[in-house]
Amino acid sequence: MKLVKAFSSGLVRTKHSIKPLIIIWIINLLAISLVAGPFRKLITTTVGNSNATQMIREGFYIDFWADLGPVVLPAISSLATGIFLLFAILFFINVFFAGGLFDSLWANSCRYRIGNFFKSSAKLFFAYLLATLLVMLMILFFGGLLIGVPIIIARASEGDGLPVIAKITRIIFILSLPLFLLVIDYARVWLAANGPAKIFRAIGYGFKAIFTGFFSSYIFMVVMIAIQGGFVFLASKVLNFSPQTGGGLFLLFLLSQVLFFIRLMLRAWRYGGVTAMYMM
Amino acid sequence: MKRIPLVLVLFFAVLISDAQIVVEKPLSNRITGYNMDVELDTEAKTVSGFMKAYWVNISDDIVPDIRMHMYLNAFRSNKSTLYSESGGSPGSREIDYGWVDIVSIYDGDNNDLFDNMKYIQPDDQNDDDMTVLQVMLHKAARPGDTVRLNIEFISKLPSSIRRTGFSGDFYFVAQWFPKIGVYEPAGMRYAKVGGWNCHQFHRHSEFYANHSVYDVSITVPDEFVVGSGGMLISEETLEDGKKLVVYRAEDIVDFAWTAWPGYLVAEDKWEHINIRFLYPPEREKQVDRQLTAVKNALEYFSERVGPFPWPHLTFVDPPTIGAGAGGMEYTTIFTSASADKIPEFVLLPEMVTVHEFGHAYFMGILASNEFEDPWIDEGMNSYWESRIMDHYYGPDKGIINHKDFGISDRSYSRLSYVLSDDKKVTDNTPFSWNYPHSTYGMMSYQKATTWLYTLQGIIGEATIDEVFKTFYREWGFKHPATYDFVDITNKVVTEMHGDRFGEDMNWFFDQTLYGTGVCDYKVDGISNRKVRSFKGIMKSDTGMVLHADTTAGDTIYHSVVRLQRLGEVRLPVDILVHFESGKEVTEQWDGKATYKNFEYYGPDKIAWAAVDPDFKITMDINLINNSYTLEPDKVPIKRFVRKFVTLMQFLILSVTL
Ligand SMILES: [Zn+2]
Repeated sequence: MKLVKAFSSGLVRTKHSIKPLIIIWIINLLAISLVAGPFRKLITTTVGNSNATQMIREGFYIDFWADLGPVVLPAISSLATGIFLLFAILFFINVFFAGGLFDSLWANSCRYRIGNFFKSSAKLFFAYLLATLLVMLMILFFGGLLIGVPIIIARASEGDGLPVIAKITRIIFILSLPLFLLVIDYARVWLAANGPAKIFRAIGYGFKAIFTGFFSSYIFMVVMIAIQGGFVFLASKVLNFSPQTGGGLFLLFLLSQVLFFIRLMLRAWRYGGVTAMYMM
Repeated sequence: MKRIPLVLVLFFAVLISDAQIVVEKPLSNRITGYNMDVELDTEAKTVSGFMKAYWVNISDDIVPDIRMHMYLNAFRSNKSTLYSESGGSPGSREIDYGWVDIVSIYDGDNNDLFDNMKYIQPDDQNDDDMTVLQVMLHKAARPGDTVRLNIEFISKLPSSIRRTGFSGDFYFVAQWFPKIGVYEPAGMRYAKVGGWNCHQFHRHSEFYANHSVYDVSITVPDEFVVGSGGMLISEETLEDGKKLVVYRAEDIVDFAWTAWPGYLVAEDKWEHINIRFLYPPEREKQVDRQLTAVKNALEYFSERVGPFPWPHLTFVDPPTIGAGAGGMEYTTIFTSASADKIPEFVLLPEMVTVHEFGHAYFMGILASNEFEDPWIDEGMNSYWESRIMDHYYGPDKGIINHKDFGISDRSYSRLSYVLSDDKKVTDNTPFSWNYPHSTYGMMSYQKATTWLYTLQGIIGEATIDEVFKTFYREWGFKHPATYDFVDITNKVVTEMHGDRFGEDMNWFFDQTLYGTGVCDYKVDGISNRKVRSFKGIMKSDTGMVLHADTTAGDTIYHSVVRLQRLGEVRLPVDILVHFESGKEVTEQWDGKATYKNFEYYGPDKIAWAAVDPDFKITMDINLINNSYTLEPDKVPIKRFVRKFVTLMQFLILSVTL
C-alpha cells in the first residue's frame, strides 16, 4: 500500500513540478551549448571546404580525426579544459536546482511559484552540495573496499580462491547502491523540509529512514533504478541512428531533447516518491 | 659473394649434418651448424651442456678468428650496452641476472682455445659489454676450410624476460648459446674488406646469422611441456623425473625453445605444415582466433611472397607471468601476445601472431642484417602484417573490428608516422642503435610501412607483389641489403611497365627510404567564373582543347582547380574533378611543381575536386586538405557535436545522483 502510494504520489508531484523541470532542462542545454558551439565551429573551420567529411559519413574514420589533430590539438587542450569546466559547471547547476526541485516536489501544488524554486535552490545549495559530495565519497569508499581490495588481495596471493569472494563482494556493492541513493534522497527531503542548517542530521535521518521502512523503500528504489536504467538503455538505442541530412539531424536533436526531458521526469518521479514516503 | 666454393660448402654441409630430415633438400648453404646436448636446471635457472659447432670459410680470405654472439651476457650487469641504451638494470637479486660462460673450448684437432678467447666491443668500445666473443684459431682458416668447435657452456637465464629468460617456472630460452656471427667477404652487403659482422646485443634489433642446421637434445623435468623451433625427433622419459626431447631444425637463423608445465597444446595443419600452438589454460577461448590468424598469414604469404618451406611451425602465447616473452620471432617458433580476457573486436593477438609469423620471411628466409638494415625486417614485415590484417578482417577493421567503429592496420601505421613530431629527423638508413630521438620504432616499422604502401599505390598491388616474389626468389636464404631491394624493385617495375615511371624507381626511394621529407598535397581552391558565350573550339592557357560542343547562347564558365604541394616529397598524383552535372574527369600530375592549375571552359561548373582520390599516397600527412568542395557537408560534424551534447546531458544526471 505504502509502495503504491509512493509511486502514484511521486507521479503527481512530478506533474506539479513540470515548470521547474523545464527550467532545469533549458539551463543544462544552454550551458552545454556554450562549449559545444565553439567546438563545432573549430572543427568546421579546420575542415574548411574539404570533402573529407564524406569519409566519416559511414561512421568512425580514424584518419580523419587524427589528421585533424595537428591543427586542432592546440585547441584540444583548451577544449579538454573546456569539457572539464563544463562538467564541473553542469554538476553545480544540477546540484543547485535539485534544491528547488525537491522544494517544489515537497510543495506538490500546481500553483507552485517559480520564484520559490530559485529561492530554495539558493537556500539549499551548500547543504545539498555537501550532502551529495559526502554520499559520493561514501560510495567511492565502499566501492573501493568491496571491489578494489579483493582484487589487490587476489593479485598479491596469486591463488584461485579469491575471485569468488571478489564476485560476492561486487554483488554486495551493487545491491547496496539503492541504499546510498535512498540515503541522499531522504537527506535532501529532510533538508527541504527542515532547512539547510543541519546537514549531518539530514544524512543521519537518511540512514534511519531506510531502516524504518526498509522493505518498501528498497523495493521502490530498485524499481526506479530499473525503470531509469531501462529507459537510458532504450534511449541510447534510439539515439544511435546516424542521420545523413540536415533534416534528419534536426529530428535527432528534437528526439534527444524529448528523451532527455523524460529522463529528467523519471528522476523527479524518484525524488517525488521518496518525498511521499518521507511524509507517510 | 663468390659462387665457386658453394659446391664445396654443400658437400661439407651434407657431410656434417647427416642426411636431410626436415626439408627435402638444403634451402641454404648452411655454412654453420650446431649440435647441442643441454639440460635445464630449474633451481639454478641455468641451461648447460655441450655444443659441437662448425663454420665453413666460403670466402677467399684467410680468417684468423671466429666471432660469437654471447648475448645472455647483456644481462650480466647494468653496464652492458643493452642496459646503457635502455636504462634500468637486470634486477636487484642475483637470480635476476643472466650470463653465458664457456667452460671449455677445443677445436676439431683438440687444440685448447680457452686462452685465445677475448670479449670485444666492435660497436661502441664499451669495455663492460661482453656480448661478442673473439676466439683466435690455432691455425687460421683458409678458403674452403671447416672450423670445428667443441664447447662446454653454461647459460644462466635472466629473470625479467626481455626476449629471453624465466619467470617462475615459465622459461623462454632464446639468445642463449654461443652463436657464430657472419663472416662477410669484401663485396658482400656493405663490406669493403672481408671481416666478421658480429654486433653486440642492443636495445633494438635481434638477428644477423647464417642459416644453420641445429640438432638439439634438451633434458628437462618430466612435467614440462616443451616447444621449439625444431622438428621433434624423439621424446623419452629418463630416470629421476626427467625427460629428453630431441629436435632438429634446418636452415633457420636461430634456435629458441620454451618450457612450462602449464602449457596446453593445440595442433592443426595447413597444407604441408604441422602447426603446434602452446597456450595457457586461461586462453582456451582464443585458440581458434590464434590458429585462424596464423593460417591466414600462411595463406597470404604463400600466395604473394613465396612458400613457407618448413613442414613444422610452433607458436606460443606466453602466460601472463611470461608476458615479457611475447611478440618475438625465431622463424619456426614465435611468440604471440595476448591477455586472459580480450574482446573479440580487439585484434591484438591476431596482429601479433601475423606479425611475428611474418618474420619467418623477413629475417628468417630473407635474412637481412637487423642491426644495419632494421627497416627491412621490421618495415617490410609490418607492411605485410597490415595488408594481411586488413585483408582478412576488413579494410577498415584490421586492428579494431567493432561493429560501430574500426581501425585499420594501415591507418595505425600511417598515423604513428604522420602524428610523430620526429618524422623528419632521419631517414631509414641508420644502424638500429643510431636512430635519434628514439625514432627507431616509428622509422623502421611505421614510416617504412607507410612508404611501402605508397609504393604500392604508385606501381600497383600486382607489381609490388611481383617485387616481393622476385626478392624472395633471388634473396631467399641469403643476406639482402637495402640496395638489393631497390635493385629488385627497379628491375621488376621496368620489366612490367617499361619507362612509365621513369628510367628506374630511384626517384621514389631517394625521397622515402633515403629521404627525410614529408608528402602533402592540397587542393587549394576551386573557382567558376562566367565568361561571355562563344562558339567553337576554345583553348585554355595550358593548351588543352575543351568543350568543342558548345553552341552560341550557352553560358560558359572558366573553371579552375588550384593545387599546391606543401611537402618536400614529389610524387605523381591523380586529380579527380567533379562537375555539377555529375561528369568526372581524372587528371594526372607529376606532383613536382609547387603550384599547379587545371582549367576548363564549358557550360559545366566544378563542384568539387580531390587530389589522390583513391588514397594511394598513404604517406600524405594530411588527408583533410586533399579535397575541396564548394558545398562542404557539415552534417557529420554537426551530428558528432549533437551526440556529444546528448551524452553530456545524460551523463551529468547520473553523476549528480
Ligand atoms: Zn617485428
